[in-house]
Amino acid sequence: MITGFLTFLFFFAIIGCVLYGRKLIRTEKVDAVFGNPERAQGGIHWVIVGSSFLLLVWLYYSWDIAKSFFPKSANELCQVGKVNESLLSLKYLFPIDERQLKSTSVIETESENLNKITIEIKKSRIKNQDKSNLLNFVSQTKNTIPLLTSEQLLNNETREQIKLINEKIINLTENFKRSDYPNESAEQELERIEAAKKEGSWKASSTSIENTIEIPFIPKTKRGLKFQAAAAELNLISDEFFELKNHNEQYTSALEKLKKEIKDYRDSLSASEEISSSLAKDILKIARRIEYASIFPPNTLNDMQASIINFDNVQKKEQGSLRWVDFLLFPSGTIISSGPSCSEQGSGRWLPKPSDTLNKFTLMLNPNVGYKQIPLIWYEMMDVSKIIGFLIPDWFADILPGEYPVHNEQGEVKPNFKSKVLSFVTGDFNLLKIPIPTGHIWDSFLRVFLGLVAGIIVGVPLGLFMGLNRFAKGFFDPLIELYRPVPPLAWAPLVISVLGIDNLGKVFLLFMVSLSIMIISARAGASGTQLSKIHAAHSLGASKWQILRHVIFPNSLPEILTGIRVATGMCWGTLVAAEFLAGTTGVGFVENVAKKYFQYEVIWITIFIMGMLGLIFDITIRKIIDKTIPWRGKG
Amino acid sequence: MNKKAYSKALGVPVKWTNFTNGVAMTDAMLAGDIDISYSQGLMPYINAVKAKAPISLVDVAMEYGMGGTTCVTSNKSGITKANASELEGKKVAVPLGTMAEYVFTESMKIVGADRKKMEIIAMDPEEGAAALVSGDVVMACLFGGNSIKSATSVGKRLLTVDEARAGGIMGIDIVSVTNKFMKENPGMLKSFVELTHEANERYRKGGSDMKAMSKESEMKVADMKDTLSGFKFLTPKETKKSMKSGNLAKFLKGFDTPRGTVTTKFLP
Amino acid sequence: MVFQQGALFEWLTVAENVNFGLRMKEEDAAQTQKKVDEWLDIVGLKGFGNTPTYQLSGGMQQRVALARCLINDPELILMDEPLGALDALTREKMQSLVLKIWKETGKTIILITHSVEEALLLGEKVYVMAPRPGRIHKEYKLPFASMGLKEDLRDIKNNKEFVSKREEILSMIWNMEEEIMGKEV
Repeated sequence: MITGFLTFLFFFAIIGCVLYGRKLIRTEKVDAVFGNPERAQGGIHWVIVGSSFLLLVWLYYSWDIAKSFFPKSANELCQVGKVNESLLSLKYLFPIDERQLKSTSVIETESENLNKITIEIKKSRIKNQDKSNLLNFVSQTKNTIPLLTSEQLLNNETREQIKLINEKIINLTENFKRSDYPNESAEQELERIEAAKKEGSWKASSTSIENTIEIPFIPKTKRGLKFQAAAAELNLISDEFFELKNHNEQYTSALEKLKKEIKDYRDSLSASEEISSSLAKDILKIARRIEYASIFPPNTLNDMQASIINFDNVQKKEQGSLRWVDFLLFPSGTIISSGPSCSEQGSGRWLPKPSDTLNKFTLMLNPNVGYKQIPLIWYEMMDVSKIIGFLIPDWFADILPGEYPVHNEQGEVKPNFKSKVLSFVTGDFNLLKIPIPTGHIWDSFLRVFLGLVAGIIVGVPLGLFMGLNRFAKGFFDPLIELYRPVPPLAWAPLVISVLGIDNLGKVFLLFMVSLSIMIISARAGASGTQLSKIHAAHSLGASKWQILRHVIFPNSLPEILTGIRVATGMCWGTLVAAEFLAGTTGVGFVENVAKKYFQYEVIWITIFIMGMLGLIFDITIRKIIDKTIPWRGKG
Repeated sequence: MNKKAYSKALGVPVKWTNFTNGVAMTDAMLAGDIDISYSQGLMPYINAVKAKAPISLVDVAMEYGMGGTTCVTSNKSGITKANASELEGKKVAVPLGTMAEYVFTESMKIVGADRKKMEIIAMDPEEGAAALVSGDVVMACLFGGNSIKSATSVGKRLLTVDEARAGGIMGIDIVSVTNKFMKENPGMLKSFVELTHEANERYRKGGSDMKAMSKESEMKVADMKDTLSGFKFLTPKETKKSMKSGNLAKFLKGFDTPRGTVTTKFLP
Repeated sequence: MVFQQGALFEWLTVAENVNFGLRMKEEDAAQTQKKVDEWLDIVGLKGFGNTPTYQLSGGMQQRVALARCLINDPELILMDEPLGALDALTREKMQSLVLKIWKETGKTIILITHSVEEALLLGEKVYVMAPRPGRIHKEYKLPFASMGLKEDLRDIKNNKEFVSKREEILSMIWNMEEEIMGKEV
């Protein structure tokens, strides 16, 4: 319902805005030549066109439009899918979807294989006697093929069976055309409708992360029922046909003879004659494959082919308007049936519907659901003491004089000063509680933030130092220049093995990413300071430190802030990949696990979250840049 | 397994691709890159079928005790079967969505530890083993000979092979195919399954070339024998039984797998 | 020192630029503020104290540079083409400002310039420099600077003596150029 409304809204928004835009272009001043940046100044109407177009594409390719305008189409297509599935095992024998009759292509490949093995036998270093034996087997195998393809040798029984199957197909086709097929009684109908109702409608579950039923399997409409019944009948027919083999007496005896001869031959070989034995076995395999393949005389199955094609055409015709829905509203894929369920195959599978995605996202935002028992973003009450305990190192208590208390004979433990200090530094006491953010998003955010801050704290002074001091530049340059070009993820396995899978390893990885960027940008900023400014400061009586603090540092600020902006982007990208490798929390972790359970909605949600967070980071830093260095580009 | 034999047996060139886990196999099958998955873990298969992937189970590659998939606790942590509840609140590495997750869940039931109270870290076996060695986790659940070997160098199996078997923990690796391939090439599929059973037969009789196999799997012969000792390659008859009413059927039922994705008609 | 241009600290305001030297010496803030106001008044930038320097025009920026230098009460002031990058009108105004400051403070100012006219106008002593090797070519003692204090600068420029001196120096420089570079064909 909402989707339908939105579809129209986006559609008309695009048309309206395009018209408006064209009108504006006509009234626009014409003196702005091509290439003039003024011409590239956007307009909100073009933004609307862009985003509407994007959303419309999403709605279309996720088949949400199909879902909202034809909510029953998926269920009906599922029934059609059942027919197609059953037809597949009949069709593959004929040149309907394939180029060749299956019999023809089997004969072709196997003759080719027999030729290959003949060459192999001739080339191999075995006794001539063995060679002639093996070649004999090959020709025997070859000779079994005409026995299968001869019209005269075809068993009457087989002929009858083929005829019977053919009749069944024709019969089904006739029945299928009838409007009251498959003669469902009122009672059955009630039962079916009841069951279908219970099954629910076409959508992803909005009450659990895991998807249970996405496409209802039980036919809801008369048309669907027709297809389901036909599919069931076709299944029986195709099973029957699958069992049918063209094994007439001549062929069977020839094959038996060949099998026996090969067995006798292989038994007669000694252990050292392994090559001959395995060659004989390979020949036998080919013979067996021919036996198993459904090879029939060239024209035996013509009637059947015709009736299958006929049925196929009839069922296509019976689909009626559904075919158009399938063609127009289910782009790049369709709904197929496989075994016990129907599923979306194509873009509908990996591109979840906006409505489903939103439902799942709302569900995941609920702190009690979250993902893997951890909320996406929420808060928890944390005692301030824990923070104190985190900040003060635990060894502080260890270095105090004295010993930790030992329990006495009454089995009591009396705390002494040292143990009290220990409980203080480990945060084992109660103070007031304050809310602390928690959850996957917060964890990812915190990692990036810490890595970035550490990189800035170390990188900026080092970079400035390198920009000003010959020794520092020479000393650190090889180190930095060697590690900088390595893609950060290349370090990930190593860092994780050395520093562990905890936050420390990940933060360190991000630190490495941001460090090199910060060093490079701070160095560029420092060495880019105009000499006249330094001279001026010098002449005004500033000391070395004052020049650094008041001239070089502010002068490098634009470079440094741009560096931070770049580093944030890089850190963000690296973090998600690092969380892929190992982790218990974080947006990357969520995506990685969701992938293993094929939860495409969750995957897309994480992608959106990452995009949004990246955008927020970038906008924040851009705002900071505008605020702190308004002189940028104007100096 | 002799890869060339498959090309010969199927009469067409067979291209083999290695996957580190069954999840990736399913992905590749859905994308149409591969037709048959040999030795896919049952868990990834179940997850895929639950997600409505159009694939079918046609054969059991092997059943194995805890030889091939197991949880290893580090010696440093001092945690054994007896005090396994100490695992609660600690970090354990589990390759989520694979057979190892199943083994982990079942093992925790046997030793009476609550998996909800543990901090479960999603890691592939190789990394899980590395994390156990470095002491980041106290337990790692893993599969694959080399991973288990490096993990057991610093730890012990939480449950021995026999204990696990007694507790009903067993892994099953299967052969799965895309439905399209199954419908269109039943002959090829039958040859494939047949050949697999022939190889199993040869192994049972002790006729397999251990040296060639160890080279293929990049393991030492002794290590591989150790790994293989936990495997049980079923005869066609046993396979059918497993699929219809035996271990596999029970397993699938236990995980609420949609029915009708298992077919025995390609067994020899 | 006063430079041609670009030597202001654009991240600071006018007042902060002017009091930079005093801040570096950590002098009393109130005292400093008073001095800043005084000097801004002298260079004609009263009320611009809180303006960021990047919002100023070229001439105003050079006034800030002057004030920044002079506030420190230096013994000797070196001006390296301070008016080189300014337009003609601003340049003239600045020339009178330099003269005014020179008169009011009585400091020694060494001013380097490309403009012969400017040298004649502002200098008590003019040294003409010659390149390769750099050396003092000729020394002049001139009365125009002290004249400039009383008379309008434009009048001085039309003064006969001024014009002849200018021509003399210019032709001398031309000759020198030819000597060194060779005559142009």
